[in-house]
Amino acid sequence: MAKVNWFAQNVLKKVGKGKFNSLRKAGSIVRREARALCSVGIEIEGTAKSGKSAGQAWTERTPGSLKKTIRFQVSKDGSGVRVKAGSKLVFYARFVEFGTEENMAIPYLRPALHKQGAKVLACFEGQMEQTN
Amino acid sequence: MKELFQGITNRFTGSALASALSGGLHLAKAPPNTPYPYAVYFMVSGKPEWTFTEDMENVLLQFSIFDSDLSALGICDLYAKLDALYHDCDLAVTGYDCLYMLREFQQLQRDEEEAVWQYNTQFQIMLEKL
Repeated sequence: MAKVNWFAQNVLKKVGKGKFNSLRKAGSIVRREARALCSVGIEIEGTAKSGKSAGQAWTERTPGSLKKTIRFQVSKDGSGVRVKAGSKLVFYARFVEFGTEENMAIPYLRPALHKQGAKVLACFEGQMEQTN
Repeated sequence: MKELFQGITNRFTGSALASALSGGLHLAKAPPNTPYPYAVYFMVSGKPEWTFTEDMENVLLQFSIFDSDLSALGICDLYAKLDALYHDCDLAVTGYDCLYMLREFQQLQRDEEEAVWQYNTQFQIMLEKL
């Protein structure tokens, strides 16, 4: 009589651990590319119109602020990874990505994923091969 | 990708969308004082792809519709016309065979400073060089 033992828990554990590694690697690849593509201002623009800093230079618009906020987050259940940009101070992240009526878009997130799509897929393929 | 932009413009000319967009469709940026509603389109990203025998171009294209109407219903109608015109269409591009043009996502936002609605739509286009 032939018998096959299927240790599902062990396999799932191995896949699960690898999955998180692949997601982190994929997020890191896209983040690096997005940072490379992200435009950086050359001067501090404008002054605060109201509030405590009224009349003073708007220091939140320091060149490179947007670039610094580009980050990735792996979901807790390992179902995906999200690369995002912007913060409360760097509120203009989406205006740069999608453009506005006044300012043309300078996309940095979408081209990053588009450009590195093959490398991202390769992360998961490599992980699958290791699991096998 | 001049040929692609020409193909987009050719398909727009004489369409229901062209009648509805009094300000027209512009590449990258509209001239100052363009009347509402109007739309702009630009290339988000483009990369070459190939098989053993075919050369292809994989392009992401964004359309943005702008409308100053207080209600968002008007811009939603315009979006529907844009979608009907370009989503899953047979785009004629000189020197290329358009394998597909598919909408990837849509996003409606309001610019309170300028008091305009902005409807962003992204399409993915795969062109095969003839």
